[in-house]
Parts: sequence; structure tokens; C-alpha cells
Amino acid sequence: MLKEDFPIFKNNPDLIYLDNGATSQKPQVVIDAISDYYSHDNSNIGRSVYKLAERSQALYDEGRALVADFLHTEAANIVFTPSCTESLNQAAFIIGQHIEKQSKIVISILEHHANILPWQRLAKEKEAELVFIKDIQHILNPELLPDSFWQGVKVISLTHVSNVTGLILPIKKWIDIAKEKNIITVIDGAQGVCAEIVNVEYLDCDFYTFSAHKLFGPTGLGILYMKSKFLHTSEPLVLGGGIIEDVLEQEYMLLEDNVRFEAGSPNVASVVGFSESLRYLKSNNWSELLNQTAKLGDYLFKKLSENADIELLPREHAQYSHIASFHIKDIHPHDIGTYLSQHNIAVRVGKHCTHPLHSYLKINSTVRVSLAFYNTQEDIDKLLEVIEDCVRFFRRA
Amino acid sequence: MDKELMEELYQSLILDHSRKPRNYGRLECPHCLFSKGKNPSCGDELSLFAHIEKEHIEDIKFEGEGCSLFMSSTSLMTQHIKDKTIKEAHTLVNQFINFILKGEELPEQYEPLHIYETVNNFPLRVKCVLLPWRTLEKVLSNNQDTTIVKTE
Repeated sequence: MLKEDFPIFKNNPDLIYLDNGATSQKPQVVIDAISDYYSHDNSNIGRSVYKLAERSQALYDEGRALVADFLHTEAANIVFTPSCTESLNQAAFIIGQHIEKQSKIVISILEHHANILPWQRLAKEKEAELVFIKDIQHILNPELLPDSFWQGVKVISLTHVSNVTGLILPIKKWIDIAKEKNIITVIDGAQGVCAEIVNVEYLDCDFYTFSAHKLFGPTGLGILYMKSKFLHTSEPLVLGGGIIEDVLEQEYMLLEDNVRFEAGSPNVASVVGFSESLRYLKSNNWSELLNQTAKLGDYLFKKLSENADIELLPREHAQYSHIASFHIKDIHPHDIGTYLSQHNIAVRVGKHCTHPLHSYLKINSTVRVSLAFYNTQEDIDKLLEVIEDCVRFFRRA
Repeated sequence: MDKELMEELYQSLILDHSRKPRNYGRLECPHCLFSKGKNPSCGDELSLFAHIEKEHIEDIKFEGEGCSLFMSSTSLMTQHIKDKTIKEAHTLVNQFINFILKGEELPEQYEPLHIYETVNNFPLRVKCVLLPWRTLEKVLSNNQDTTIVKTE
């Protein structure tokens, strides 16, 4: 049982953790790797010549190579950031340097705020139109969109997997169409990396973003993949030390490579921890773990559907992942969350940083269940059992 | 699970006020005061209206959407505030907020507001109970600032 690799479950024996969409738990090897790094190798990198710095630099570079391997690309195209959110901001800032004014930026109604706000700001700066694709049939079948829709579109930024409905978007289809029309593509993989094997070379997107902490790694580390053509020709969002060829009193010359996007002291400890997460996933057959989680996702959806009180967010004939959200008539999600918490069941309640989606669906808030491979059918059975008690409790006279 | 704690938190009175909130609706009079409260992450939303004549709260109403702690707290608050002077209302608001946040004594005359004592065991839910009270503070201050009150 891989669950035994995660000390949080030893320290909280009754915990049923169903909030993996917010953050995942960490295996002991990841925690140990971070502790070992600080105990044995800690130093800053890119600045010194002593042995500790050599070791830290090697560990940091190794981390970049492992991330590249995970995304099936080259280390030179990987940029470390503090979060997936910052990766998306960085992407929007870079793209702003490559599009003309009064163009169109396209996102979907499913996006979380990290993939909305940076585009709102860019749209304002560029006097561009920010267009939301709302119709689920268009999200699933971009080929149905009329020619007029595509006129002036310069950027498409889509989530790989919805953090609320669990829908797996047909991103390859979107990227292929965008490529034909010379549109820049950004894929927000915050949930996507936890649902499918990602091969950015095959996808052929221009940018792909995710965070380490949702993938059994430490907090404070985001990843930004970008194509080489943007790497060498763009200004970074953040300026500072470690990214320059030279600095004069009135100007600076940036390094040519991906390091130009990593100003300041890098988060080596989190990179070391994340390297261990990626090794852990690989050695436990990540693709098989994804299959298990997907099957568990189907089981979750089936069980939730069977309960007459639960109103699931509607599903189309499409692929869905390890995430499902619902509400129950007359019982507020926060009250459900508090009740479940009394049974040591952790779920997310609220709007899940998707205010436009909740407004569009005309739902105030929802309960979200999101799985990982350490979850079991028993966890889901227990959830459903407690939900039945919860409904009885709140509907009592 | 701690069944008793759940029953203490969600007493029948709380569920009753949440299902059938008292003083629900709008006040449309030209001099009525109005403030908005909203906790963005959870979605609790409140529009609070007060009709005040000569320092006396003639009427108070609200519209809103949110969890049972928020809805009941708003409903019970309006019942207690109606017919009070502004000064009395301020005193109650301060006493209630200190009762929730600092565990200070709440005079008996304010029964049944004591039912929210248990919310201290649920630190993430304190904001739900306090949102209407913080919004009321704003209404009573009658300033022209239109910012939305938050308690998270």
C-alpha cells in the first residue's frame, strides 16, 4: 500500500483526505530529501565556487532535468517559478511582448482565477478583447466555432483539466487548430499533470504550467515550460540578481537562456524535494497510478450519482478526471464541509477560485471531492455514508 | 465524531433561523442606510438595510445567501437590533464581537445569541457568524464609504 509511504496518514490515522485538487500529501522520501538537503548540502547557487555550492547547483540542475523528462522535453525549456500562478503570470507577461494591440485573447469559463486575472490585465494593456468560451459543446469541439470567432485571436489559454468539474479538455485539438492559425497557446496544467501523462512536445503548446505541490512535492515551486522562440526573445516578469550578462548604471543585459526568468535566490530545497517526488512517481509506475486514480474517479462519480440528494455538476459525453463537485439542496457547502470534517473527511467547499464559472452555472458554491492514488473505494464509501448522515442532520426538524 | 459538538454548533434554533430568516427583504425608503458584506472565498453575501430616525433603529432588513451560521446570525442580529438606539446597538455589536473573539461575557438579556459560543471550536467558521455584525457596524457608522465588509 503506497498510502503507508505518506506519514500524514500515520499521524492522522482516521484522515480521509479528498482535497488533492488543493494540494497533495507528501511521501516520506520527499520530506527526507528536503531535510537531507538542508542538513548536508545547503547553499545558494549561481554565485559561489565552493563545494557546497557545486553540490547544490548539481541538485538544482538535476531537478530541472527530471522535470523536463516528466514533460517529455528538454531541460533548456523549463523555468522554475514560485507557483503555477506565477508561471501563468510570467506567460502572460511574455506573450504581451509578442502580440499587437486590439487582438483577441481566448480562455474558457472553466478557468480558475490564476488563468483569468493575468489575461484581464493583459487585455486592458493591449486594448484587446478577452473572450470566454462558455458553451460546453464549443469547449469540447472547437472545430464547431464559426470562422468569425477566430478573427483576431492571438492567444488561447486553457486549463488542461477543470479544477471544479473534472472535465479533461481536448487540448490537443485546440492546440492543433491554434497552430494552423498562428495563435499562441498556453495550457494551465495545475490539475492536468495529476490526470494524464503530459508530453509537451507532442501537444506542441507554446507554454505549459503546473505546480510541484499538487504532484506530491513541496509548496513554493511552480514550473513553466516554454518554447525556445520565447525563451531567447522575452523580458522576464521579475528582474534581479542571477539573470544577467552585465549591468551598467542605466541598463542591463540578460542571460540568453531560461535562467533569465529566475531572478533572485532559487528555491533549491523545493527543487530537491520535487526531484524526489518525480523519482517516487516514476519508480511506482506513474502511468498505472493515474489509471488507478481515474478508475477511482469513475467510482466516485457513480456513487455520488446514486445518492438522490446530491446534485452533481452536469457531465457531458466526455472524459472526466479524479475531481467531482456537487451541492445539496438547502444545505450550504460550508455546513457540509464542517460536518464532514467532524468525521475527519477533508473536502474543499466554496467557489474554488472560479467565481465566473459559479456565476455562469448560477450556483453560489459547491463541495469538491478530488482524489489521489492513496485514496480507496472505502474512503468514497465512507464519504457517502457520512453525507447521508449529514443530510439527515441538517434536515431534522 | 463529536456528535454533541455538532449538535451544539447547529442547534435547532440556528437551523430554524437559517431556513426561515426573520426580517428578510429590502428597505426602499430614501433615507435608509445600506451596506454590503461579502466573504469572497466562501460566497457568503449580505445586503443590510436600516431605517434610522433620530438615533433610533426603526427597521432593519437584509437579503443574502450563505451558510446556516451566517444566515442565522444575520437573522438573530436583526431581531436584537430592531428598536434599539444607535448607542445601544453599538454596545451590543461590541459585546457580541468580544464574546466571539475574546470569550468575554455576553449579558443574559441577549439570549439566545449565546448559542454561537461553540463556534470558537471551529476557527474557520467564525467569519460566517461575524459577517453581519461587522456589516452592521458599517451601517451604523453611516459613512459614505462604499467598500464591502469582509471577515475573512
